[in-house]
Amino acid sequence: MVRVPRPVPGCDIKSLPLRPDEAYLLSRIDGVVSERELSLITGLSQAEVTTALDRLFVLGAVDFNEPRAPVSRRAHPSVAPASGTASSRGTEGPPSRSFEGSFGAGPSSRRFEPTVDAPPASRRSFEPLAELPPPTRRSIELSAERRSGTDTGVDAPPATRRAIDLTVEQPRIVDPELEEPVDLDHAKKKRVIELFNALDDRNHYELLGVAIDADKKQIKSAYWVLAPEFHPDKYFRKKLGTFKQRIEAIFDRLTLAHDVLTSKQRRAEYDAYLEQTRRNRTMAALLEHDPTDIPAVVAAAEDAPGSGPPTLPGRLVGEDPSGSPESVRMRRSFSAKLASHSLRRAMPDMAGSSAVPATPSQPATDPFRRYDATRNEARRLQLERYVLAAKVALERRDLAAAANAYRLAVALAPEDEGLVRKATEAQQQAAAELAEGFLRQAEYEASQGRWSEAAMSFANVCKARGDDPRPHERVAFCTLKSGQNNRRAIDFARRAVKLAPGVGEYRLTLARAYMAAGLETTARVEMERAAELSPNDARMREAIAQLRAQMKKPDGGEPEK
Amino acid sequence: MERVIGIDLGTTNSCVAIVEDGVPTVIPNRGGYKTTPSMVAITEAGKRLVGHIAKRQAITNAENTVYAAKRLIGRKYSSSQVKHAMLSASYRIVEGPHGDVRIQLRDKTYSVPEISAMVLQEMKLFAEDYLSEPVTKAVITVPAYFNDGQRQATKDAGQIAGLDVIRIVNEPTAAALAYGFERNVEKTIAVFDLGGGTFDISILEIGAGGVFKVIATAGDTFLGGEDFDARIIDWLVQGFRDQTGVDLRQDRMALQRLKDAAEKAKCELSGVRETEINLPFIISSGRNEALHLQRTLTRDSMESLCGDLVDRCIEICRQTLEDARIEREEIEDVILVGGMTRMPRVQDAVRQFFGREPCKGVHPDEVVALGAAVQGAALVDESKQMVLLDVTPHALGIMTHGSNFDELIPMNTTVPTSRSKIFTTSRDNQTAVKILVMQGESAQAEGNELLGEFVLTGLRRAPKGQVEIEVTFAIDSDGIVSVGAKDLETGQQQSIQVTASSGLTKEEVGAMMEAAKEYLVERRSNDEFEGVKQEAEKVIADIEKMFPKVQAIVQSSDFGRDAIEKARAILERCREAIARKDLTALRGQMDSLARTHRMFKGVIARPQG
Repeated sequence: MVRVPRPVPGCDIKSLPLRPDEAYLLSRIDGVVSERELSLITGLSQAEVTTALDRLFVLGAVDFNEPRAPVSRRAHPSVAPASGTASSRGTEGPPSRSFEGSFGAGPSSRRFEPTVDAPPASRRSFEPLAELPPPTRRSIELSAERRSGTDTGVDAPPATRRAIDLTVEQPRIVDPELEEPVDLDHAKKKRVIELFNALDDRNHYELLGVAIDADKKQIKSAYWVLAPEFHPDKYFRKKLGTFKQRIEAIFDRLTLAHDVLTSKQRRAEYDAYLEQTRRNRTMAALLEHDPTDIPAVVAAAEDAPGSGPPTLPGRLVGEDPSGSPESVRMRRSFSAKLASHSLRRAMPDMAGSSAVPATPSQPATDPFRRYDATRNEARRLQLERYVLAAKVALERRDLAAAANAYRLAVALAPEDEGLVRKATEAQQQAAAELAEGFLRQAEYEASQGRWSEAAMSFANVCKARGDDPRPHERVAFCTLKSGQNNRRAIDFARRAVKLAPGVGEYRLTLARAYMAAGLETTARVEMERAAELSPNDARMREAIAQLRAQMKKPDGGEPEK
Repeated sequence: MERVIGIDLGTTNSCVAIVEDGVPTVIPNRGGYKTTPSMVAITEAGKRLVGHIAKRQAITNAENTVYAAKRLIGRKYSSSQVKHAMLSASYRIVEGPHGDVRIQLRDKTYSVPEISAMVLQEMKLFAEDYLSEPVTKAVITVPAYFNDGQRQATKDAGQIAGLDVIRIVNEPTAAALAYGFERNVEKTIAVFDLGGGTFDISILEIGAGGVFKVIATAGDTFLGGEDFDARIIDWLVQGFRDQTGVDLRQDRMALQRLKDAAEKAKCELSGVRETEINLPFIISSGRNEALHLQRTLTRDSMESLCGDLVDRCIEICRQTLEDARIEREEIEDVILVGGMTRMPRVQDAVRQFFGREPCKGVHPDEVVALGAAVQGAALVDESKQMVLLDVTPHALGIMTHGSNFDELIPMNTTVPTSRSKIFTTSRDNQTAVKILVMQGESAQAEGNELLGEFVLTGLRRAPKGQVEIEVTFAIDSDGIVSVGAKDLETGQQQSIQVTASSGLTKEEVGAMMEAAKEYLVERRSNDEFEGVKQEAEKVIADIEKMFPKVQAIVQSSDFGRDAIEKARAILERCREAIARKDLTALRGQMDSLARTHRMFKGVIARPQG
């Protein structure tokens, strides 16, 4: 069973002797995200998360929804508490979402968490407020908490979280999925369920259990072992119930993973895609700072001299709320580098000087002046560090980090126009690069027929290129292809047409979108305009002819696209 | 554990096999042959003949003898292939109620699955004879390139024959199974299967742990030995017309003789350089004068007649490798399957294309049935370490916007597999959505095979666009397509109406199954009657032979005369029962008959005096 940690309400976090990574982890805990997912979100290894969680538990900052064994086997024996405590604590009131609720780690960050690769139909909708649950093969067993997190947004009542509380009240609850009467033994059922639930979270390599640099032979060997285990023939004419679907889905994914990774070209494309999504996620997370965190960072900087030695790397890493694993990993390594090389080289005296203002040996003539001085000095230092970090990042073409650093700097010195300009510039550059990245990601997704993902990625491109009609049209096109949300298709197609009224192709897409939504008359108008605009394009003519034929059909029951 | 037979239901010949004590074995037919012609005939007396006996009488009963029914199975009457087959078939092909193909034999029409079922039933009987136990489960093979309709029809045929078809396996794949069975090889192989009616090429990877994974498959369901025969027939007909001005095609009987001769010549030319085709009295001319056909066919001239057919096979191989992005050098072994691969020209072409000597280790006529038996055993026996990962030879999709083909599952996708698609309503309160499911590789819908129309009915009433239905298209391990639908909001499963575009309805299959069962019962009781009759007739003949002697000995006594009268009555009753074909009555007389026989023998043996 996967542990799901929850913050303990009313716990005074500031009084706890937390390390930055523990504090960071704590900031991610909301009573919904599981231990495994935490590892994914934070970029910390599973073992690190487990250790940190165990410590947080001992400190009384979190508890678990799981009735038994609150501390996993990997836990350090000295901190392992008696198992009774967890369930008794668990009954106290509903959990707060997160102890840093205002930091807004809401759906925006989680949005990127569903992974990279899955059969198209099982994708969840990318819209937080989609009217309908997206198609999914794991319909019933799709973990309820994720659905609520993705689909209902932050403000919706956390009904499923209440459900979790209920399970806490009944210790030793049996998993109904495992109780289904089928011709499989317990261990097998468990394995099937676990693997099935992990399908969306694993990339092809993880699924086959091979290293990212595994050669063809290793990939094949892994597949030769796994495929027979999950091939439906191995359960020939057995009663499988809902397990049938799961087993088939697993087999499908295993085969897809094998097929992609054993083809040189497809693997190269996939690797590039993985790398691209990783980069995009990192960048998006870096750029998507909630404004509320800036005062927090500033405040942190203000506190810095008083509370001990400067902890820039720790602060940046430990309490940054933009929770993408890559962003954290990246910033962590970046900060480490900054601390070890660049900064030291640039400011050899920094380590010493930073402590100077707070040295108690200075005479305390005027406590207020002293406080102001300390504060200003701290600000100045912090500012310098940010600017330097931005420059270093720019040199490394790490636009996101640069933009981020500049933004932090601006927060400290909003009056510095030059800085503001630079920050804006960096921000724009980074956004452009991100858009480029999303475009590549979107194109791969579209080429793989993963339309809803492609639509989402194209929509991300639109964010930075609000006046580029092409990505808008692509969003509409992919949305239509995925068969989801005709409204959205119309909105994006309209925007594309508005931006480029003279392009027939865009109008055709808009016409299709109208058709899909059943707005035939409007569709007809758009189509006629499209026909006027591109009278000589053979492909367009054909498409228009098809659309016309579709309209003429007396039977409106034709599938919509 | 119940035993599963594997049946290679071929265009020209069929073969049945079973795994016995872990060894795949071909089951011989009653005549001791390992393969049985896939031929069915109805005699003038209405008697059904299957196999060798049907083939033997084919010439005299050409119009009522069906061969190569496999070329018609699962096809539409309107298809070009059926039109083409009608030109050369000696039996009558008519249109069925669903636009399917029916065959007219005497005064009755039969669906193609029914004809195939007759062959399957025969194969089943051979197996039961051999095993001395009833057989109900079977794995049947089909050409890899068969589409959904053809597979479904083959499954129907099995069902009509009273078989539980636990799996439909592709022929080249089955061949690979037999080839790799318990040999523990890790290889990439090609299976080149040129049979009586179809051509298939499959590329497989045999991995550790008995995993057989098909990488790619392709073929032509109208390219096989029959086409080679047709070329020879054309050549003979053409030559004969040039010589005599008579068109042999007008005479169905002549056509049947030509067919036999062409096939024979083709087979002979695999071994010798030239052969003579001699058909005396093939037809009579208008002046009532008999004409003879006599020609010599050399291997070279046959190769030039059929060269393009071989080229077509090789072209398909090339295309398949290209599509699957496999280099020829990666193929580590080539297996030849099907009688046509005995032709030297075919072997040369394969050798040249793959750049290696084809594998000689498998029997081209039997390997498919053996593989089917292996698959059957692996399915029912969990301890068997073998799993087959086959692919779908055709892309599956739906027709959209007029005539576009929207591909959902591409060809060469490992089965079982499924894809979902969401459909929305386009009218307020729309309660039904029609979906046309197609199979094929063309971007235009017309270029593909329509599998069926699925009508989603009973949708909930709502404004347009608000009902979203997730339709799941699945291809199972048999390669057969199924469709399921679910309302996304209510989670309700939608009923799906399937309008068969060709093929048989469930009810029809059921009725045919009943008819086949009845036939079997009838045939069984017939067999039994024949047995009893033979026995009775033998005894009657014996008694009659003794009659005068016994009469002479016993006539002096009243008792003796009485006994003679009684014996006469018994004989009379027996003859009557035989004439009436009354098995029960005859059985009832058998004891008395035997008693009389014993008594007569006793009388004669008694010392005279």
